[in-house]
Amino acid sequence: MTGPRRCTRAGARALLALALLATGERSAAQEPTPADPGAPVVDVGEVVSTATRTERDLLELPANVSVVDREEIDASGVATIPDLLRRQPGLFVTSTTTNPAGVQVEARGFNNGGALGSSLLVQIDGRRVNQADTGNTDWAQIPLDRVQSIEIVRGPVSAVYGDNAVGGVINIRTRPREGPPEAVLRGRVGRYATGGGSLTASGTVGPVTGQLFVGGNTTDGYRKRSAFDGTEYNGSLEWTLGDRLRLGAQGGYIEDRREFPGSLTQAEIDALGRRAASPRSERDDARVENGHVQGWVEAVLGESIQLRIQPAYRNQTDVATITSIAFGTTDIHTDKLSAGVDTQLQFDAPIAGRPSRFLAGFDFLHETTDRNITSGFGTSLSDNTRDVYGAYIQEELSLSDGLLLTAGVRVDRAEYTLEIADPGPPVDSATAKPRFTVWSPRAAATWQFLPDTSSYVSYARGFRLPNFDEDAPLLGFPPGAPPTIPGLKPQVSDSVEVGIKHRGERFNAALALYWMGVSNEILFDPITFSNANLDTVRHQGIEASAAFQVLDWLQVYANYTLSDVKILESDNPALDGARMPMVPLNRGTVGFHANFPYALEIDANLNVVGSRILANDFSEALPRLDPYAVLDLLFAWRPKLGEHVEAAFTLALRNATGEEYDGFGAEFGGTAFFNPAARRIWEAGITLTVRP
Amino acid sequence: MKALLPGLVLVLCCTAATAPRAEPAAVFPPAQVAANRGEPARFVDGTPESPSAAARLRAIRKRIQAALVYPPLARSDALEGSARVRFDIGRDGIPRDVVLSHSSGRPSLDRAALRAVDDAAPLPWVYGRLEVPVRFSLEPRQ
Repeated sequence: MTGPRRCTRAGARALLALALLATGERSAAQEPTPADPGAPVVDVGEVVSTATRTERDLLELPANVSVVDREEIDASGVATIPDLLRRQPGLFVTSTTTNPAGVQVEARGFNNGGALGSSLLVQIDGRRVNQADTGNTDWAQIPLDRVQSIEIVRGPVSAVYGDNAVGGVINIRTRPREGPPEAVLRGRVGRYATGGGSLTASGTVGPVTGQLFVGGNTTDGYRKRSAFDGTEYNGSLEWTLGDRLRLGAQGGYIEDRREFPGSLTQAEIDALGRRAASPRSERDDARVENGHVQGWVEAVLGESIQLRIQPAYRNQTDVATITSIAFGTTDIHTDKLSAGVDTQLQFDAPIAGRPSRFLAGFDFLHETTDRNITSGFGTSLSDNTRDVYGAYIQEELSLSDGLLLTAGVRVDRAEYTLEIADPGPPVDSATAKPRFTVWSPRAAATWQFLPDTSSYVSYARGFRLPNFDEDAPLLGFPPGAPPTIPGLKPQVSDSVEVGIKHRGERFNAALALYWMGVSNEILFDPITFSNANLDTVRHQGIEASAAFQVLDWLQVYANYTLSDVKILESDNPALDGARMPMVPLNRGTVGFHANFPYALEIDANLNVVGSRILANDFSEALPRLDPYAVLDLLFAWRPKLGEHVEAAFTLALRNATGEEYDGFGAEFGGTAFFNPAARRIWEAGITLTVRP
Repeated sequence: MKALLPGLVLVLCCTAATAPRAEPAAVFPPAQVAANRGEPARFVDGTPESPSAAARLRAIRKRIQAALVYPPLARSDALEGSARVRFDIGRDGIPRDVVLSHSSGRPSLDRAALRAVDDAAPLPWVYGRLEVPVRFSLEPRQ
């Protein structure tokens, strides 16, 4: 019925046009009359642009990989990234402080007895954040509020990533994706004078996507002398030129002050309580300043070539006071610099009619650490530099629908200059220039035999280079002895893994079984009191996880990890056959997330960890650390406050049952030392998201 | 009088009971369509000879479809979404007043949708305001 009416209106407009023509109004007649703004709009019909997805689906990857996005992070109610990671299969978290510092995350049974070094590579927006002096990641410098998503790759991936990617890789994304402007304001307050907040403003205007972040955290910590105060400023700007070229830069400054409560003997816990600081650690603290900047150029050349170039620079200063049984109170000033560039070329073009992807990359990293240590034994200096060059190629060929072969190799060349000196008297010094070349091959096959299910078999090598504190030890050298450089070799692992994954609409599951032989695993040997390479260590294990959307409002999930780590062969007979300390044989998580009417939510997570051998206690002379089960609860109300504002009010109860357990423990001189973890903590939070 | 004749025919056409009821809402004065082609209007049985509005809309959609390109960077970022673009068509076949009526939430996809309409020119002239939904969708690798 509307057709004739519209027709009449159009006819009237045509008549008007003709009238104008007749009166000589040529200009008006030459241009069509604009449509009446109130006139109905005619739907031309949908047009669709379909392209093949270039990023790999999780089912296609020949590894046990999971991704935690912002929505899941918010739903979990955790306050730090390690608290999120401790729920993941294959990962294990230790903590010595009860504040955000002093946390170590490891994968697949690497923990080095809790000493120096990390076999887990961590990257933020592609920028390596493992530190050259310790190899570790300082998790206190990565606020969860700024995180968009976290990708967890378990198992060695050095064939692409190089150094540190032995137990796995954590890729953290903070760069905002293009989208409408929004501002997120977060605030929280909790027990033990814990408070914090952040403001994130991000969005795209025209071809420019930007983000500004300001955040801060403070806490007194559960234990005495475990306070932490930190602030971060960060900004990024990305400019898209056309559809094929993107230039971006990101920079940030972080500063914090952290206290270390030290470890307690059982007698001290009995006398002073588990919240006490160690009587030996009355001055232990550090002030950390970190400035970093990184850039990226991403270009799509033609239909099939992508080029990425990522330069990065970081400068950090640590001023710390640390007390140790061996060296007494020690003042440490460390300046660290890291600068490098990663380049990658991705070429997607069929080979013999089959889809193929070829990757080629070149990475360069220059790192220096200058350290000045003053203790009761005098002063020692270290000045360490290394340049690491890495080049790799990888081919991914789809042999048939569902069958994907992956093969690649990377070579890394590391050139160190290590100088340590004791200005004396007497003046002693040692210099070494070790050079390492490591080849990291990889081969895998993924078979997606059902639309939602795939299996894979994989061989991969991982390696990590000795870090400066291992090869030029942090505390110089044993008191009274001349400085020595241990001459460590890189730690190399060869891993075979099989796995199966299912990702359906309501049910996700993954199962991975791996066997890994590690040569030259680097470990602090408490018997010889030095860092050493172990000849052969076997890591084997199982990772199983499942999540089931039982009802539209209820999801349940569980995972289990078996980590069986044994030293098979060592120059030190006392270590032969020893189990790796601080690695629980069994651990797992079970939980649920429920959505109720009126935007109410409850999240519950039970993290169960089996017994652990005390660090350094290879002979298992002392009792193990007890197993523990920690229950975290989150109550949330996430109402919409009008068209433009979303809110979230949360109440988190961490360790809700008040479980007493230790975040870490070590043997020294036949005595057990414990680092008690926090008992019951509550934290209330508010999040406001504004989208204009 | 020559110039007035097609217009009068149109008025008769639109008011007559035999007007083409199946035509979509946007209807074009056939005289102007003919003028747009630079040809004199021809008449068959008293009605202008021209493609039906539906056929012209199909042609417009086809041309926009041909001009539509998935932005390469958006594809590598796995961005998907649907936008809607409104526009008029000038007598020269050039889309005019091309605006976004519904954003995909991804500016690069919105830009690609707007550009597809611009790049689809020349389009068959149709009188009225048009809207085209543009969907960007990624499919799994084989």
